[in-house]
Amino acid sequence: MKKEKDTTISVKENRAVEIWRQYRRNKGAMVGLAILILLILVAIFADVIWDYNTDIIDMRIGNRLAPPSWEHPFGTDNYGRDMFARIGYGTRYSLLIGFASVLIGTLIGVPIGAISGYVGGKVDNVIMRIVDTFTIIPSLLMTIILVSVLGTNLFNLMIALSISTIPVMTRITRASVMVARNNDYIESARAIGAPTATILLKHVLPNCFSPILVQATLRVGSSIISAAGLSYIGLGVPLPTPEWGALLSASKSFIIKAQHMCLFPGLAIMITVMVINLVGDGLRGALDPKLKR
Amino acid sequence: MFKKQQNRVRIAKALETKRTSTPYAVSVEDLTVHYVTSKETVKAVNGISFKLPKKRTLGIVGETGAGKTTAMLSLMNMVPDPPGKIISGNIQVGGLDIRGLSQSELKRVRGKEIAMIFQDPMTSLNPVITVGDQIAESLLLHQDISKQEAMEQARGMLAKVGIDPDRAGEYPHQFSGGMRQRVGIAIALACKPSVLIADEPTSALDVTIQAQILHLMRELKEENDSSMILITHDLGVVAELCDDVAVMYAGNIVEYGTLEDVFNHTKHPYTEGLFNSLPNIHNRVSKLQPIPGLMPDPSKLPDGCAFAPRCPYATEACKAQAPYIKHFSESHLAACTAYHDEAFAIKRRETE
Amino acid sequence: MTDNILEVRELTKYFQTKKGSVHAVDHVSFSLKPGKTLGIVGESGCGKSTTGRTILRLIEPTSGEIYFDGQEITHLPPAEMKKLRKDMQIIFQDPFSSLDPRMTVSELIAEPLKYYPILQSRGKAREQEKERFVLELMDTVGLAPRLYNTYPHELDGGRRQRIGIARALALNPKLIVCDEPVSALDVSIQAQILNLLQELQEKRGLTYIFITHNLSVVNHFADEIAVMYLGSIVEKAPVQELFAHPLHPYTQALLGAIPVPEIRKERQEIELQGEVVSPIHLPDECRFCKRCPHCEDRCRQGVPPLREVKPGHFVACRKVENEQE
Repeated sequence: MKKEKDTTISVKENRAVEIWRQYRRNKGAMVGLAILILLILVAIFADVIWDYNTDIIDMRIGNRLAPPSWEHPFGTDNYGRDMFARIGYGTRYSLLIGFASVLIGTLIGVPIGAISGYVGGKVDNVIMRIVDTFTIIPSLLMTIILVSVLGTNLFNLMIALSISTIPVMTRITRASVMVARNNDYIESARAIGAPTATILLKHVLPNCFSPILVQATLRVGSSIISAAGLSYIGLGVPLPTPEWGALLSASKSFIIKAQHMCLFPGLAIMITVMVINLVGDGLRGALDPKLKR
Repeated sequence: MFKKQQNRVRIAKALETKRTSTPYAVSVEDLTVHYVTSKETVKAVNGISFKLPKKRTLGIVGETGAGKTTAMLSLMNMVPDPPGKIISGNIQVGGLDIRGLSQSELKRVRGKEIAMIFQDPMTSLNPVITVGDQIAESLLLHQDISKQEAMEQARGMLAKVGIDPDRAGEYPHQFSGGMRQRVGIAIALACKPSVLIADEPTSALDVTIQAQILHLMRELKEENDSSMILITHDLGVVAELCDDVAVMYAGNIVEYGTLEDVFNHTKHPYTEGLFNSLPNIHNRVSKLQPIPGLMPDPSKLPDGCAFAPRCPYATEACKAQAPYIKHFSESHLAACTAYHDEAFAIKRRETE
Repeated sequence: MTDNILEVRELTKYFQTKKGSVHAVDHVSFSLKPGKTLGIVGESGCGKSTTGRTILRLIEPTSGEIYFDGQEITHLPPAEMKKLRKDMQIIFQDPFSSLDPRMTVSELIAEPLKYYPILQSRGKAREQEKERFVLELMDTVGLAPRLYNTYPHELDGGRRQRIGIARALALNPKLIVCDEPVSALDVSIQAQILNLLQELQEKRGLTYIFITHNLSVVNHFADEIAVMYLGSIVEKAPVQELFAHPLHPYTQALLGAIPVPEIRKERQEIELQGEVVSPIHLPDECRFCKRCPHCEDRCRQGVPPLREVKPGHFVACRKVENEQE
């Protein structure tokens, strides 16, 4: 048997460096990441940039519904407050709601789905029937019910959105685990004596990562939109908190007179959702060694 | 309906004016096909030529990535474009210059003049259409017959391939793998094509079923007087079915001749290597002699002979220049630089 | 008796499905001496893979006994079984689905070390020991060290199968179940892998169960061959005996159906009619009856038992029984 002569070991890159190198190739994802970082920075330092009392909630009736200008790039609202500052400050709420609800939903939904898909049989049946009952109720309706029961505030809104995220994450995880566990490499891991928990955590879940990540990023977007929707019908964050949905909701009476009032919060929501999807897509590509080139 | 029929007649007439008379069912000259992407150029087929006389069977043998399937897709002008590009070559099927035909003319040719049997009987049939309808579909495309007539003929085809005609109304999933391949053969043969291309028709089947299918193909080919090109990696299947053999390696035909030429008077070192790496059923030698190394990446083919890096006889000359085409007889040729030396001979492993 | 490394008695696996119970493995018995190779041959769906996996208890048997090194293993608790897994490994057919795509070559080969105390050192030295261990194994199976950090999808089928072999060897097993290890590979690569397996057997004294549909491959490889049909062994004999005097009609047909890469003057094949029937609701008759050219009335009276007709040559066929008498 001829052995291959080359004796040098290729340099093992640090996993993080490798992922980053892969990620950088995706231009859209890089743009997305830049904007997302900017949004996160704005959210974190909102209190430094703006003073909550003077910039965000103080009314200046004399300057109400002013169109965009150098002084107020996004114009002012019906109480004369600077829309730019309010939208900027609102990043804090919208991002927090989006990320936190998906994070909680994922942390609970993924393990349930993984167990359901991997163990199968009766366990799977019981779990899925429970999940089904949750899924029958439209998720927005579900959130509305939960918020009305728990009371309207930011924390309850997050909890409600998390709960409606759980069934979605459970389903997607279960489906991809059921596909992944049929691969021979699972059998192979069992043959070398790997414990079930290790197999699940090391071999099954990482190979289900793509669909879970895609679903999660989509959910961040839809959670932000749901939150906006709830605020719009008055079940979200109470006024005068400048949550984006609340801003949109406030604009509804002035849609003829001052279009900028609904245009800019709407744009903010749209751009944020898009940016998160771009980043998710980039991550998916970077984390899958098969897409490496 | 009437217009469609007129159209069909018009195209058929146009085809007849383009046809030249020839003793060959298929003739290919200097065919080169590359897959061009922004990153690389995959040289799948690199200047192959062969002629298939009518009523004969040609076996194209080679391993994964040798370019067998791409070459055959070119015969029907079905290389996916982009990224596939037929760079050069003259392809004649039944006297028709395939590359000079319009799209609508090509559609006439496919199925009628030249038809294909696929490797995987599980995926080459449409799961939501009954097998009878799938056979009738191809008949309706090429003949001016009514639906009832087509269905009647489809049932006849099923009977021919050994399936009870009453099963015409069943769906593909109700058939076993071997039965599905029979349906695939019925579809391919429905319009009595003059050339039949079979791409690994039995690779997905069990040996006892494979024997049945090979038997059936041999019978039907004789009955229809058609010519056949059989793509396979299995030298055993070639021996069962073929008159001529072309051995492909990295997009080139490295040896070409009659079955007798290639099997009993092997000339090319790669062909030799293939035979030597096969376990022989009659002979328990202690060790197989594999060909060392791997087939080169078709996007980075070496200069000179593509087989040189794996060839035990390779010299510096092999690596520098394109292989020498040596004709041993009218029918037998091999592309190997070593034959510049008249005394050169390869040694097949002893079979006894 | 005790010098057998593996002894399988009446091993049975039925899968329960909606249509009924599938007789995947039906009362299969055989034994195997250390350093030898048993070839299990049959067509798709004959239960050969299930037999292999049931022996390793990757699939739990329905009934039957498996003695490995004299110890009955079908009732061992998971912890005891884990200790034994070290000695019995498996090589899979499909080199594309049997390796976790997210792990590098070295991670794949080193994975078994995590679950068993094989490495001695601690801390930094442990990493070095692991690297030496992996490189040594890579050298054994003919993988270049430069592939240490590559991912399996960057490699061809032959190299991937070498990774699978290295992984199986990492725990230094006594028995390896090779489940169609070369069927997915090209001819020239097949021979490379077969030679490697043979070399390893000689060097390490490995015992193989070689599962395949290709009789010419086991001809090279096995000491003894068991032919399976619909979950049962229909013929079992030393390899030369089986090829020279196949007795069961199915074995004869199987041998006749192999396309041989040489020009034959006349064809002497016994072409089998029909196809394998579904292994659900099997009637109480010889399993091969529906396709057998010699099927008679007495073949329909119960499943014929596997009987020794010559020393070491077992056949389950009434016709052969008749001729013996």
